[in-house]
Amino acid sequence: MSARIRRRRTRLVPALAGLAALSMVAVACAPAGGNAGDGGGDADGGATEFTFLTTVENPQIRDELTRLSENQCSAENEALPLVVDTIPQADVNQRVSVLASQDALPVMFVSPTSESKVGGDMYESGALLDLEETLTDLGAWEDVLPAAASTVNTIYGDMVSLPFQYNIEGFWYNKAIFAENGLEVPTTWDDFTEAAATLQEAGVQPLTASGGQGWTITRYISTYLARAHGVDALAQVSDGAASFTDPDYLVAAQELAGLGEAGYFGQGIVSRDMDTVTAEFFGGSAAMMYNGSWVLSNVYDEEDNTVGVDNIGFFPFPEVTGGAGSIDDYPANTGTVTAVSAALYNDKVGDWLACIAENYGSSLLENQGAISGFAQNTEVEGVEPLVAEITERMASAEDAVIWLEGPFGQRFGDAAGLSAGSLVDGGISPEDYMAQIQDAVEAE
Amino acid sequence: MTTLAPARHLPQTSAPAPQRRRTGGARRFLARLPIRLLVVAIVAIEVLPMIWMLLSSFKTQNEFVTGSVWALPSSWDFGNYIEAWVTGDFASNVRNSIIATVPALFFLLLFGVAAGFALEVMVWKGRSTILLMFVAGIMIPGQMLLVPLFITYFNLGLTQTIWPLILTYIAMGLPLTVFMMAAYFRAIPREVFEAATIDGAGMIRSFWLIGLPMISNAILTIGLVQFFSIWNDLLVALTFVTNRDLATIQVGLLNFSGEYGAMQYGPLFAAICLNVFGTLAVFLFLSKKIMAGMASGALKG
Amino acid sequence: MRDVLGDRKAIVILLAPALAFYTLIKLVPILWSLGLTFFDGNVLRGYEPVGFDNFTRLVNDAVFWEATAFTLKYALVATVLQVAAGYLLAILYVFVLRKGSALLRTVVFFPVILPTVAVGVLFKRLFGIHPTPGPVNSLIESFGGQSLDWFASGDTSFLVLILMDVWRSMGFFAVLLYAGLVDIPEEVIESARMDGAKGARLIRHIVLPLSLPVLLSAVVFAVNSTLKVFDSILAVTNGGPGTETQPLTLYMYRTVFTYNEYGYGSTLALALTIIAFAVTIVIFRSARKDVTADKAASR
Repeated sequence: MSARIRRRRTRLVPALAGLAALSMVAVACAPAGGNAGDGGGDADGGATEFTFLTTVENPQIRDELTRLSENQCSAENEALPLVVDTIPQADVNQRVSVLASQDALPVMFVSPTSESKVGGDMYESGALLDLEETLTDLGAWEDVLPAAASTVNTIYGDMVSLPFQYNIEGFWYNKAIFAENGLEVPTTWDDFTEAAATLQEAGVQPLTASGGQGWTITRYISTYLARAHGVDALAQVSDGAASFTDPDYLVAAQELAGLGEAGYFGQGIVSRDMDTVTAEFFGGSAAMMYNGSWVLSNVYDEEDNTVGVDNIGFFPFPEVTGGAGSIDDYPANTGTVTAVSAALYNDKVGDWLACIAENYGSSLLENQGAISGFAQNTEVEGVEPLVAEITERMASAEDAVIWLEGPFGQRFGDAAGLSAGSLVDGGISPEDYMAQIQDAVEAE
Repeated sequence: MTTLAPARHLPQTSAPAPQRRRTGGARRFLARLPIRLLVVAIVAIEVLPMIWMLLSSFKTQNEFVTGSVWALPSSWDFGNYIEAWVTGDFASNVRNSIIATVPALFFLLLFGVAAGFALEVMVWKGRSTILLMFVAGIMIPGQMLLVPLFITYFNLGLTQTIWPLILTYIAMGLPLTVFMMAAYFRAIPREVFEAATIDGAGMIRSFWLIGLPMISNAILTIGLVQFFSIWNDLLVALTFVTNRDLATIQVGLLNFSGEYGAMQYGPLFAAICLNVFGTLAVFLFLSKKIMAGMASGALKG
Repeated sequence: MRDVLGDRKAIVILLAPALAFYTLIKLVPILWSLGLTFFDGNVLRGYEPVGFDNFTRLVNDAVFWEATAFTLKYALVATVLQVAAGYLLAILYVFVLRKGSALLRTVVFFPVILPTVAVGVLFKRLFGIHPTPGPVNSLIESFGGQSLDWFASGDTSFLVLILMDVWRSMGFFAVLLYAGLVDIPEEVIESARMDGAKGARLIRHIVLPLSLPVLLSAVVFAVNSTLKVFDSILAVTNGGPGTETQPLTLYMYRTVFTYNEYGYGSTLALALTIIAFAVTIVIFRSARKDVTADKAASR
């Protein structure tokens, strides 16, 4: 590193900067969107292909749409052929933003959750079609379950997502273990902790959750708060009317840490992954598991579920005595946002949307045994009893409880999720945890 | 792969060797015992995970997650392998990985060695600055390249092709290749090249006839290292490939993860085993040929 | 003679392709990104200039300092152990096993070719505690110890990550250094042997000085790859518990791709690059002295 080199470098920097500028100009001059492959637009900007960008991890929607394109929607498919591309979930945020910035969004696409809310970058860019208006115009709004529509509207502030998925969440429990220990389904939080204590004494691990998937833990806090303060508990925090560090909010984290301290979740929760959680529960070594209605597919998978279909039951998150919330409010979500491009919309896209709204619900239930937020317009024979029960609970749901990370941004999500396991195993105190997430709220 | 680089040719006339031969079998065995034990321990540390992977590829989800780590699978059926082959579309993933890796590796080594030669053997003003510039590339986190490159490739209309992968792999591998090649060239006495120039050979000729053969060991080594870093790359492949028909093996492995954090371990490990043992087999086969070729080249040189 | 070694045309032909690729696909995007350090925003929202705000924010960001401390600690420990283990292995190959080292070289190199996701799952299982204790905890229990939840604290997680990285990369460094050791001219070693240099003395006085350039390259490479450690940590601890094992790269990745803050993310990347630069230059400086000193001595 002689002086000679140093002198060289100073001369090098402006040269490189010049080069950089040159090549950026070259890139900017290149015909934007020269490749229509991604966007699939026609001369008027409308779609020439029904391009659909979805996550690798979710084969459900793309499989069902492919099936529809060959059957009920084959005419629509002929006019506007379905083309599916996939990206990993972890890449959605980055890739979809870049595509949007290049005017290269597909017709229908998975959109980053926090950016699709009113005020989020995707929403404010005007890229997302207002689906309530569109489906109403198409005469297909009746095909969307009101509860699902209200969930989308509550979470995002507008109808930005097609409800390809609709899930409610609560506790799945092992009926055989409950019967052996003389336990009833708990309806209050006190009953619930008592039941857990009884199981723990009997040598059964009462609960399981995954520190690797922080949401399996943070849901305890948000749902407890909704039971104690009503479904707008989190909205009060985002409005600034309440704080996570208030004593009556802090109690939620304290209750959860108490469950952990009593050893109800077993050891090693920080690194426990989701597969261990489901294997523990469906292998009969944990009595209860908080999870969403999507686990129905595990319930009916004989390889996964070794305790038997008849031994699995579902109960809603228990009530907090004296709380303002109701046990009939379910934590609900509609999966990842699946939005439609406003720019590429035309009549042929409309035909596709109408056909999906009409047929998706029944087709999904019939072929994949799963539940969506679209109405089932064709009677499906031989629906499994637990599926029927969950469907009924969805229909009777009053208000949607929003998950802890829902109203806030990504930084909050990490602040809450990454430390969730530590909150349960005592690595971080409830006071510190709540202070940490409150800080994240204020930072946003 | 058996021979990552040829063993050094030991002088046949080395003095201590005959003495050692006379010391007798038993003592010699005892004297070598600690080394043998050490080697066995090292092999065990490295091979056990391989066995674990193979065992895992036959297990059901339940066995894998709740069973003990070293437990044998309950049955040796190939269900996971069939699943891996079908769901992962393994054959097309392998083809894409090859199409992306082979040209990238070839040009990366060619350009890298040539640049290393120009920067270390040849004498000119400013070469240390350029070398430093390449070295700086090693320090830059690859994640920073992604967004600008994606936008550029998109505007050039390359996003639905395999080109972004090839181009990016060449550029990303260059700093290490150039840097290591320069280091290896530095170890070669300059007199070798100076002698060649006296014979009147031009530098391009010297590069092909003297430079390249002299560091064939090093090229093979770096080639292997770069092969595996390209073959196992996920970051770049993930960013530039949306079309499922262009997915590489590493991207294909994502097919076994589920939406809410679930993972299909059996098929995942089956796919990994197919990949790892497949590459291993190809290398065992190829390395013999490479060795043979290099040995003959060395004799002539 | 000097003219031929300095032949301009030959230099251009040899250097141009590498330089062109490197400049267009690496340097330009980097400068593009680094230009963003003076902006706030993202591709979608657009950018607005904010002057030095990102840098003031960096200095006051506790998470950044935590990540930096972790990164430096990790790079230091991992580099020393990786290169030391690799060098010992290379010496074992070249001077002890000699021709018989081919199989061992291959076997020890093996982990490098494993996908990170597989290695991550493996180490999570090896150090697991629940539902069945992993081999490490079983071993501890069989010696009468208490099972440990390795991933519940930052310190034990750090230990697991280091062990994993050393296990994974020592074969790689062994091969890298082996190629350097093999190229040491026979005559040098033989004449040293004739002079009575053996074992540790031979290594210390002859082999080590001669392999310093390659060793130095290995250290530089190891430092730079450990400073940029990313996917293995993502696979094993995801930076947890909390953010205790979050390296700068992961923090940067999250800032850019999860929080959509390109400007601040670029600032973090710049900080990381400067750290890597500083460390490399320190290594070069200290090593260059040694090399010249030793070379002078050996001549």
